[in-house]
Amino acid sequence: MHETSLVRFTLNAVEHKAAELGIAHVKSIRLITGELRGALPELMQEAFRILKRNRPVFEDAELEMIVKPVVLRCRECGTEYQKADFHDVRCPSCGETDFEIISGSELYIDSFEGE
Amino acid sequence: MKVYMEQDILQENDDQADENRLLFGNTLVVNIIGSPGCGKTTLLEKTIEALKDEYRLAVIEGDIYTTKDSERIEKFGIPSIQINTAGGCHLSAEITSKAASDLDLDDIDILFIENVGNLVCPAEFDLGEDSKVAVLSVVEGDDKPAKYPLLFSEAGAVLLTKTDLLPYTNFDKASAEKDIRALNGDAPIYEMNVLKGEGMDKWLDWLRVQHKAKTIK
Repeated sequence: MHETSLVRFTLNAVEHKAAELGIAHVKSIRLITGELRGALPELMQEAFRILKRNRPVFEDAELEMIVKPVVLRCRECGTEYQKADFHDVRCPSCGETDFEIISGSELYIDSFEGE
Repeated sequence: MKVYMEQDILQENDDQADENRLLFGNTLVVNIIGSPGCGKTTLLEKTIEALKDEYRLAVIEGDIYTTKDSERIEKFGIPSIQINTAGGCHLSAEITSKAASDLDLDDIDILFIENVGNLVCPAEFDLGEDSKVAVLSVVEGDDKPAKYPLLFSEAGAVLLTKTDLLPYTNFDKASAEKDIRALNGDAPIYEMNVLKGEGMDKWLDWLRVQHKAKTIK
């Protein structure tokens, strides 16, 4: 349930930026999160609905979440592969377990739209 | 108007964590993370018992509602600050900063932060600590590192506790260690039966090395 904190930080950051730019109404916010971060879209939306109350700048705002899958790259042979969990992380090509995470740990505010 | 931000959602927390690092100064700060019942408070009790004549210690206790853990620490006569998160499932840099401001950090060598019992959320929030320590009791199952990769990839040390119960579980130590290693090439993995004091030496030495490294910096 750290979703509540994530949404609160998002609203703080977007509100701050919107005020800087003289934007009075935020229409949408786009977040990019990776599967590894465990931010559940349903809980993010629920937190968003609750936390945007009493913040006029977000009155009509919607939250868009793009969730990136976990993609690993083998340091041995360079193969990129997707994994649903971290129990079997062997490279499907060469069987090595030395990898870098190239996607799946994202957690950032991409953009917002407003007027 | 479309505004591109490309800003980390946790930026606000991370900025505060950087401030905490300045506030902590030479104090070694260890953030202890594990499930409810994995033995975090017992670990602290035994660690305090072993180190209290060697170092000046303090504890920040994170708990959702009660002061039970803090009461267990207070009997050792060391400073202990209770944070109640009122339902919140993790500590944040901000709440840690408030708690730490009640401590005289110049007079503390090692500050332990016992996070709220949870394997998911606390791993996300930098408190300004020097190290996160993951505590996993063997009764929780060997699949936990693979299921909660963030904590195990970020941990500076992993403590496998309640190892005296291994014969009564189907915990596959080799499998758990393999999963931890895939996520984290560096963190030492210590097997411990904290109640009986078994395996404490390596953990205590790890703390001594961390403290030494911090004071040299």
